[in-house]
Amino acid sequence: MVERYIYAVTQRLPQGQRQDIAEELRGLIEDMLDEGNDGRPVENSNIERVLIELGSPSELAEKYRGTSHFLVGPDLFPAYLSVMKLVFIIAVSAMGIIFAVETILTPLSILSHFVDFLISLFVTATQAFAWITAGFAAAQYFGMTPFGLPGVYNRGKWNPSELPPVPDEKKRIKRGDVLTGIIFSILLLVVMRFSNHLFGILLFEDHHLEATIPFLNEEKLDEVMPLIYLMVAIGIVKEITKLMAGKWTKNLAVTNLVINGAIFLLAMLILRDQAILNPDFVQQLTDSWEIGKQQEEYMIIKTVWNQSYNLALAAFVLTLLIDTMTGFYKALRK
Amino acid sequence: MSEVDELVDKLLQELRRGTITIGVLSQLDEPQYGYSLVSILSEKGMPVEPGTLYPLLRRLEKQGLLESKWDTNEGRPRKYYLVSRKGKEVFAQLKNEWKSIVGNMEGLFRENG
Repeated sequence: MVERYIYAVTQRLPQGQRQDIAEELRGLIEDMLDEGNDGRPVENSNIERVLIELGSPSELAEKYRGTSHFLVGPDLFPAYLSVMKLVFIIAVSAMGIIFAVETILTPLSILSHFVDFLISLFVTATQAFAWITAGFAAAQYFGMTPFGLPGVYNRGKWNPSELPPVPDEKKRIKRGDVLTGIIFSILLLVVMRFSNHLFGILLFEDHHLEATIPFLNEEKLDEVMPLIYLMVAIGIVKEITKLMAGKWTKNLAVTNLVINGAIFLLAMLILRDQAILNPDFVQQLTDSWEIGKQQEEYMIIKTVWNQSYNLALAAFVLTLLIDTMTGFYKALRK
Repeated sequence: MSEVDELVDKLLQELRRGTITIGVLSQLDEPQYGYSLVSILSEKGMPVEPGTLYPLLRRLEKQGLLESKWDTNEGRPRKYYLVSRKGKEVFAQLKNEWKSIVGNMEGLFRENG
């Protein structure tokens, strides 16, 4: 029993110390047995008493190790927690959006969509949890403390100059805004992926979705899909950059300008020649409404279609402009 | 155990942690092995569990405050510990600090009646 105890303790210790500590423990246990027994032969009950007095093997091993082993230590834990929360909120939103879109598309299979939602939520959550934990555990193990994370300071020789200034309320970047940005990026992606089933004029007949006249050209869309992925990714990187910075600075505003510029260029590339639009949209719509080419309505629909495109484009450019300007305004204001 | 007892227990544990180190350093001018030190300390009114003392001895050795040597001449091999020169210096300073802490605490208690 004594050997089993010693083994249980030393198993939990670094290889190099095992032998030495085992010797020492053996001596100690013998001493303790002698003490209580005054030369009488040792019985099992004596051994039990001594081992209980020494405490559980894991406890004793922990005392020998001195420092507790952390998967993610107290320095990193706040950052770990906030990254985790953020990723989960994003995952739930993204899955929720996909669930909603699919339910709108085929409301009858809502149950199977919900099951899919739960499954993908579970898979994503497990994956996210595992990878984030692995990342932080690696950082912990290799002693990397990413300074600049809130609440991480040089231990021992810290300097008060490390203290970040209390961010001006007006310059602060709120987590909610960042989240909204990320969720909108994902929403854009989801809409693009599902566009041809949903993103268009829905034609109902007897309360059933009969057909959709898509706004976009499916073949072209497949072609530019990588560009759309890239655009969404850049958008998410932008939001994360803002989150890390925590407040508007001149540098951040410039970065924001550059990223928004890249998004703008990508968008122009995607929309080039309007090829991404469904070229037969007006035709299909007028056909289904049984409007002849010569009728006045035909011209109206065509005008509205073109105007809508221009308006959407203008709104997009305006949004980017406002976002860029807001950044500079917040960064430079006193 | 009542809530008060539990709290007292926890706080006492915190208090003892440092005093045991000083106590150990004070007793190792002569080489001792772990269990003999347990007996000495408990005779002198500072009971320590072996499970606490043994790891502590190792830690102090690692910090260079103690030196150790295995003695295999007797019936069972024993690891003897002795205060190192560095340990003596550290102990001297700790002792002074301790005395001033005791003095200050008494002052505080007197004020409160």
